Amino acid sequence: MSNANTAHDHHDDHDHPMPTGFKRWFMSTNHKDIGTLYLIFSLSMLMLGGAFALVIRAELFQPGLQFIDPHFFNQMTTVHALVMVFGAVMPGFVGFANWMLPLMVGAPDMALPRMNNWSFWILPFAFLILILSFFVPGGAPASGWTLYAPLTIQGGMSVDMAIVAIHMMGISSIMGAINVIVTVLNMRAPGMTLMKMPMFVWTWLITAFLLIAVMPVFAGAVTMLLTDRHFGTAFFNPAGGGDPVLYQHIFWFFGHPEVYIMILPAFGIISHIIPTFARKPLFGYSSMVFATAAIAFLSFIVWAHHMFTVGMPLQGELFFMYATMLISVPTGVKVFNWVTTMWRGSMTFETPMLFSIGVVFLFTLGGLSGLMLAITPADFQYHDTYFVVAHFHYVLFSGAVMAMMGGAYFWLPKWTGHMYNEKLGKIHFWLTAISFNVTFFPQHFLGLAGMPRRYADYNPIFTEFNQWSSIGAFCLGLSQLLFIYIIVATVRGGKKATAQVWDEPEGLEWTVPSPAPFHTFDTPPTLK
Amino acid sequence: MLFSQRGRQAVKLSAVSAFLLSSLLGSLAKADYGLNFQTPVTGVARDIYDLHMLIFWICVAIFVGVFGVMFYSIFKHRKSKNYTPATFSHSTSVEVIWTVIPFLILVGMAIPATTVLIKMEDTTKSDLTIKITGYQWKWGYDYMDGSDISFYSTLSTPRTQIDQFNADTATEIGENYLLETDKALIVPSGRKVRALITANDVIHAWWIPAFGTKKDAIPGYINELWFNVDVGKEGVYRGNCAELCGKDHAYMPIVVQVVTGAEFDQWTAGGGQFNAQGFAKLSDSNEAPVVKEAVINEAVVTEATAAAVNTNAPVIETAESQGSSDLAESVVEAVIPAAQASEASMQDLLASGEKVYITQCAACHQATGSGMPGVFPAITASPIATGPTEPHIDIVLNGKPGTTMAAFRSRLSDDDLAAVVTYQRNALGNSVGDVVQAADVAAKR
Repeated sequence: MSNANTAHDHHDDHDHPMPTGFKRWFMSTNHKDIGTLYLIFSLSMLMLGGAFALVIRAELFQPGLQFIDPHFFNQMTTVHALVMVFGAVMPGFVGFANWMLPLMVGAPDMALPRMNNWSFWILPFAFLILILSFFVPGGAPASGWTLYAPLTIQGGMSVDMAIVAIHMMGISSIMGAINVIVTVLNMRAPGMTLMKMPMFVWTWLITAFLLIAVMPVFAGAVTMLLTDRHFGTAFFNPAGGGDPVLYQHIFWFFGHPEVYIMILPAFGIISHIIPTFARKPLFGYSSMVFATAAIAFLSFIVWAHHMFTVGMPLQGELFFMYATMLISVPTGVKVFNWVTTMWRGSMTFETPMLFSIGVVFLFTLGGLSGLMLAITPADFQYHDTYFVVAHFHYVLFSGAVMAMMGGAYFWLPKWTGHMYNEKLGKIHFWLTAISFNVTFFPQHFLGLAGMPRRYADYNPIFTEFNQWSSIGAFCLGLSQLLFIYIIVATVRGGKKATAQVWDEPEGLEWTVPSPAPFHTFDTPPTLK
Repeated sequence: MLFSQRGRQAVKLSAVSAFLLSSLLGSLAKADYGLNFQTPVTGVARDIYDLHMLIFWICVAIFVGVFGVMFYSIFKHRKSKNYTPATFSHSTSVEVIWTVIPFLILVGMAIPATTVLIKMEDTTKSDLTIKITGYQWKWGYDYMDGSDISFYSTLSTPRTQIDQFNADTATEIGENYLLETDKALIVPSGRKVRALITANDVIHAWWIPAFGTKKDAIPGYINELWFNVDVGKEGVYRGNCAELCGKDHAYMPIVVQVVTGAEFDQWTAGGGQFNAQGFAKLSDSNEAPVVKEAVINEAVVTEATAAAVNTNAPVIETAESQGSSDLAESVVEAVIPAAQASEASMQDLLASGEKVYITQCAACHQATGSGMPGVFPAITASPIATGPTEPHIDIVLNGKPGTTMAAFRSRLSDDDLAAVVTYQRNALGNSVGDVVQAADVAAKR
């Protein structure tokens, strides 16, 4: 990795020899290595969470119970969600942040490298505890990822293990967020004012504030759950005067900003990809920044739209309906800006661009079903049906996950120094996009026709759409093996990538060689 | 760039259309599979349906507009057509326009939504109030207007249809699979029915799609909803529990039978009787044909009646069991002293206890008594079911706080409790040999 002909390496040669083996990967303080660890971890969790999803889809292929009992089914839905949210999506974006933020702001590393190491290495142990809960009496948590009380008060010791795991994931996320904020605010290259920062940096900065604001809230909620379970408190236990709805309010005060934690960095990624392949600057940079901030603010005042059916007063329902509808204004601004960035560009459609167009198209579809869900009277009918399942997979899979895939193709040449196989990348995109739609589009109809979510079994009237969904899910899962193959092949070899990789892309990351040397920007770059 | 786009237009076009087609795939499927809401039968449900369609078409229009522009751009503004990129990067006027116009669209959506919501939440001036209680995993209904009708409604789909693990023992899945109950909620058409909704253990949600009603049933809370089914829409409507409530969340459906106002009055006047199909029994011509059903019905008596009948119930129970059960024929001839005339025999208790066990206990403790390790304790060889009777009666009466084990104090009569406790002690692989009588249960209350 040490190309002697780069100015950047000159410094390392006599100062920090690159560690190898255990020392390099386990004791790393290097943002690139830690970023790589995060990305590998995220991909493994994506596969694990996907495997759980396939168990669910196998059982739902036909009415009746063919493979698993309803209790195990509930464990699958619960752990699938926990693994995907906290194991795949969030660490995935932290991986991108670790790799790209220092490169984008012209910093030599993250501001707090030792904490960076720690925040990663907590995660494998957190998930180990969560997965081990399958093997305790009663199996893994089966109360849905929302861990609603009082159902969780009934649960076995796996609930306690999940609570410990969530605390660890929370600590990891908060440390990651602090690191991002400190890096972005203190270590930008001279001349890079806030309003000159790349969009990915902006979206991550705002995401980091969201994380710091809400992860402790979630930690508080699960701690109260823990004391209700073991120490005789009755925060949520009605038998002791507690309030089950209080849990939902606290959970969703965390849960709704969490949704944006999982999507804002995705917005950032595609805001880099689309201008690059449209060969035209991002349209409305400052409105993009303000829209991101507006979404982040609004995300704090809409939480109760997840719980319209709990019996809130009319005034509360109206407030949360109006606030929720408002979110579509800044979100719409972003979509219009991306489309206008493409408008009169000179577009080419390499894999990252295909994924980004897929994200804009499918995320917007999920956004519009979200607007339907915001309409309270109609939400009473959509709530807790497959319509909701379809909606959040459109925003989370075809929003967050597909944006990360696009980002991976976009920056893989920078990370590995090799071009990926473009033909395979495109095949991967089309397989993913088509099988994703086969899986989740029919679920809109299932929900409207009356199939509740989190059901292990259903009336035969729902069979056909469930079968489409299951077939799609298996295709979607298997298609990701191609993704892994492409990544491994690109790491091992391939056409050498230039420093720029693409056609005159914007940003400091394209000024360093490919692969990016172990240490970059030892001296701050000068901005044009 | 890396790959020329030329000569691949056909391939790409077909790929794009496959992508779009896959989005529309569902709508090409057979129409009778239900693509939209169920046909509404109340005014509110119709309002919701209209609102839903209004918002849907607005969303479709936005979607088509935005992506019409995007795909036009994708096909026209591409490097392979040597399109020279423009350099513009912002336009304040355009940004203001596409902030203000969506806002105005939202206001247009919010007005009808607010109107419907206000209507939905107005539970005043109701003609009838029913209390709905969610249990793991059944629904309890109490008519609050003096008729004292009260019953539980449980899934009636046979276990053999649900368990398809082994094709040899499974039976074919029926039309109303998982949407059928032993007793329907009976409501009149043309009257405003208000429901007070609560739960006994965890959160459930009561949902009838055709009525446009869904509300959470939360322990410690009393929520309200109302519906007024159109006259002429009498019939059977089916719904589900819509909030994850544990293992058998998918197995606690809701069935509502809507009858005319006159029929409803007749039904309540007759004390709220059900026929074998679990629907309202209105006259003698509608008599339940199967004796067995009558016995099962007996298992769920109203609390008020149960209390009144308690003292002489064992006699009735014994008589019925002997009349309907073959077991009774084989009862060893025993001279029952007059003083013990109200005591039931082991065989009688086992026979009725089994029925209670299957409807009340088997969902968790399993039909074999094996339970689910770590989740639901086994009855077979359990310390409680094989130890002294007192703690056994106590846990069945009062439940175990913090667990799924419910208190059956108000759900079952003394006779049923005595029967099921005796059954648990002397069946399911246990053979303690003692007999628990209704009087023993009554003493513990």
